[in-house]
Amino acid sequence: MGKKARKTSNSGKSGSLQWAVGIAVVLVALLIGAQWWSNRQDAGTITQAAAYYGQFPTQGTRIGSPDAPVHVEEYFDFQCPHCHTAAEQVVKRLLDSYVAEGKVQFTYRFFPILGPESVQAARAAYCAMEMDAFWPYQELLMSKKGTGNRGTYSRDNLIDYARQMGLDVAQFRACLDNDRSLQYVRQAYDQGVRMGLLGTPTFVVNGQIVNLTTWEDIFRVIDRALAAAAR
Amino acid sequence: MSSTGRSRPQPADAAARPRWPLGLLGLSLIGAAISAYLWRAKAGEMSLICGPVGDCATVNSSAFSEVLGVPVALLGTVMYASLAVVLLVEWRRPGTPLSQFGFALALAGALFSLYLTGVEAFVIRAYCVWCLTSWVLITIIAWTWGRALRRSAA
Repeated sequence: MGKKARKTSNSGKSGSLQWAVGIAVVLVALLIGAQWWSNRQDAGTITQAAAYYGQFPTQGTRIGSPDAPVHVEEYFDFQCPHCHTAAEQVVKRLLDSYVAEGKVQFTYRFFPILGPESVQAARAAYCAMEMDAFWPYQELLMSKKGTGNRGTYSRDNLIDYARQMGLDVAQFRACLDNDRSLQYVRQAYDQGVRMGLLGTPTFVVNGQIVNLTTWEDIFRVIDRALAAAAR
Repeated sequence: MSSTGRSRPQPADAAARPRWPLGLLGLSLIGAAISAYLWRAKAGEMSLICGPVGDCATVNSSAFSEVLGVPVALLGTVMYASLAVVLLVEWRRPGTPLSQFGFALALAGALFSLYLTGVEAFVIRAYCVWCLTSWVLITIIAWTWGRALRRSAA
């Protein structure tokens, strides 16, 4: 190979090296950008959730006026995909209209049936409840849409979600490791079993289990209950 | 030279094979093992042993331990495994274009690790000894690989 040819080959290799450096820099910029964007989304969810739920009277996992004539309960599991859908298509609508107007009070009931992360998430939500932060915390957990015990609701992640919300991490961790959070979740689960629940989400209106075919069914049942209460 | 007129890298003789890819292959496998451990620990399948240095549980569960919901440790495992494959190819057939891709990946890993180490120091204010070890490994890999490519280009 002549000098000129070798020079061309080497400058080609050097050019490839510069390309490689360029690709690496772009890749890292994309990763960092994606991470900051994702973290901002979470921060936005927390801020919006805190402001949104702040407008309602809440007590533990119940939201809305305790004097509301209709009481809607949902037995749910944080890892149940239909519960994630129900949170968006039923609970949000319920809060925006029925609960906001004082017609309905709504209560989330833990029914963790889908594995260890379901129990762990319910225990964490109980701990957030003890710290008066159940509602924004459950919203953050629901927004993660974790399923299949794949680590979304691992102990470490649940603690980090609490940290992101500004909760006292030491207190939260102590609660999560304490038997009382397990006892609470176990009692909630036992209650669901005693009621003969077969899955999640299960809606209960004024003590009666609602058999759902579509999400609209729950609103029809609530409207009937409201009409009956008005008579 | 092949019949198409293009030169293709041939498997190198054992004596002529460069040694650096093998050394980096060993480091990549160690990195893959560390990343896989952090990944499974994050998924709650293994307990995270941090030793006396730092607080790796805080780091591995922080908001910076994921990119769009994908654990950084999983990205690290995939990266180290890919580097191991490329290094094996580089050892068998030195000078393929795959080597430049491998270097780009290693450099990206080193830069992203540097960023994450900065996040540990100034944002999370906690250190993860496993992550720091991985940072050192990937920095050595990227540095050595870059030097080898520069030497071959000189």
